[in-house]
Amino acid sequence: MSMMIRTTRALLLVLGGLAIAPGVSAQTPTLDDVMARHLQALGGRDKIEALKTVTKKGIYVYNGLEFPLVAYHARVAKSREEIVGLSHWATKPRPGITVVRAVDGEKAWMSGHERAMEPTLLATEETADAILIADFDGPLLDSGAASARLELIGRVTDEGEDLFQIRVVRASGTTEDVYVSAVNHLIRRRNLIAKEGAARGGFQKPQVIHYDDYRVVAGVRLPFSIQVDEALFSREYRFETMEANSSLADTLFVPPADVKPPAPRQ
Amino acid sequence: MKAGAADTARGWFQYRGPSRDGISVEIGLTKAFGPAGPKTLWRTPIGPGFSAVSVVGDRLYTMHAEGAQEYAVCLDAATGKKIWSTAVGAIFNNEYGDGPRSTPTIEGDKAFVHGSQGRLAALKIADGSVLWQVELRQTFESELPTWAFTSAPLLIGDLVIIESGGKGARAVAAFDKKTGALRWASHEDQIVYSSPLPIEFNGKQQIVVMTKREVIGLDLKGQRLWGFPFAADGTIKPAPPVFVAPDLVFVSASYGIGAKVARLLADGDTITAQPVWEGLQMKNHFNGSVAIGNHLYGFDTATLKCIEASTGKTLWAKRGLGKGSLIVANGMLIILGETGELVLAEATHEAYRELARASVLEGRSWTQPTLWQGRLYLRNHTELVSLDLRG
Repeated sequence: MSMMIRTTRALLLVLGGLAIAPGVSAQTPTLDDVMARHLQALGGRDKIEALKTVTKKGIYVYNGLEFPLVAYHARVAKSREEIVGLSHWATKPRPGITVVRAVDGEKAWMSGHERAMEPTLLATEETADAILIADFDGPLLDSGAASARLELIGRVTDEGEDLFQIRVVRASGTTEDVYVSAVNHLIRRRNLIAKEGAARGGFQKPQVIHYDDYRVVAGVRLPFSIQVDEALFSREYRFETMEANSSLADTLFVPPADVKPPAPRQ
Repeated sequence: MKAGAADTARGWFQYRGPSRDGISVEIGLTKAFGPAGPKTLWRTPIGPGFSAVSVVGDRLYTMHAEGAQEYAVCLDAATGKKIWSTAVGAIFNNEYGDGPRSTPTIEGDKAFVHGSQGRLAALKIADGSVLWQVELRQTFESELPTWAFTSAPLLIGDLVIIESGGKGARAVAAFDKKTGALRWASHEDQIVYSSPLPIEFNGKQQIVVMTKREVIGLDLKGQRLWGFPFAADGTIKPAPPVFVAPDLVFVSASYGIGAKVARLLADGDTITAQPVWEGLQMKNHFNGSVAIGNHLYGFDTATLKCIEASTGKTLWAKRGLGKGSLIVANGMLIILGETGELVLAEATHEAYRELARASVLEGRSWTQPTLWQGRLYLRNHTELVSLDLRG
């Protein structure tokens, strides 16, 4: 569905370096056009649907340190990251410790972290965010993980790039803006609001996730570089290999039987 | 009107180079190398510290920690061998990295160094012997800042100027170069881990200082000439101010603060700073941006960007180098990624165009590069390396 905002103003608004052309010109494609090109750029519907799991290996870069990383992803919204030696704020490596962060589509949990050494469920708000990020097909394709309405806000120039800004409005009420390259029609970034659980203050944190270095994996273009920016930190996933359609046991994603409840409010 | 204190004949003798702006005038550098990187001239172990390297003649000067002490060290530029080492105070311990943060400044027969615990000292460059030293915390009844003393000494005329963090109107202090006697102290505010910048504007040499509440210009007697507010709640603003000739002052900080540009306006002897823009597009964390004409190149936390100084417009961005650092030489950005990648890219506002890339250090590498006579000096907490960039 295409919901365009029309205006006759030609004024360019410059907000923090983001040049926004309000109003979608006659040359601007419709949302359907953008989505069709996006789908094609990814590799096509058939290739996407044939992709059932991805196992990614690489490094996690945080505060100048590199940590070995393995990430598992499966439909519809299952994800697990294993980051070796990661410490809170990545001050120094923690030899012999692996941080696990996982979501099985319904429950999110973690272990090996200073604030959750034993397997511990995440709070409701953090679980909702984890499910969104784990959505196998991403924010624009309807994989069934999260029902959403898309709205083409316009064509913008940001950081020298020509981008389509698409707003994703979910049934849950959450929204995010997704920026798709007008050149290669792949997602370049997502602007969303991450929420911390009440025990951690219940803060809402603007988060920008950048995608780069797309390569073809089993016929589908996937980003091998992902940078997550928040006000206080930035971290990066640099993947070296991705393996498609390995058999991944559900136990990778499902919380262990002895998982602890979310930490109470402190 | 120009940036002050340029003296390219003396070497890369201070923090951020001859003009304290991150720019080298060297030419004839290589613009290409393979994945193995440029030729390594030498590597030598070094203790922890974020101190950058200064070079004068055939000697290097930097600071590091060893055991419970911090040291200023002098090395042979050709071999990396230690010539002397002088203790400059107790080690500053921090989970992100121990050791000194400041960079030595060299002039004549002296090296001026500033330890993390607040010892400012003049050392004889021949043998490292102490000519004079001042304990800032005792002199100014100040406390150790959370992230230590970091300010790189600035030399102007017969003064050594430092952001001293003194109580009362003593945030900035000037000492006699020869004797260490206090010549003046000025400005009441909290220091924020930045270093003073010399500029020349309206025919006068001035010192630009960023403190917690504001950015100010002082004359060489410590008298305030102008000022403008900048993120008054921000207590961590290590990246130094940048002067964009002829009249713009750019400041930036991370932790969600962003950047601000003010234009200096002169009316006779009166100078005012008029805000031009502010925004979140450039949030320098530790290392400062570099201005080439009207374009600023720097790290917006973990994203390398080029922005237009006069408008704040972002012209391009490049990710994947973390919270890196850069200098400019020979039409190139010489970039050190925060995990030790050396990258050469064209110094152009048109687009990010990478020329060469190689991994040259391992681990957290937050100290900015030093370039002198075609040799590039890079360090982290364990190693100092000299690379040959001569074409």
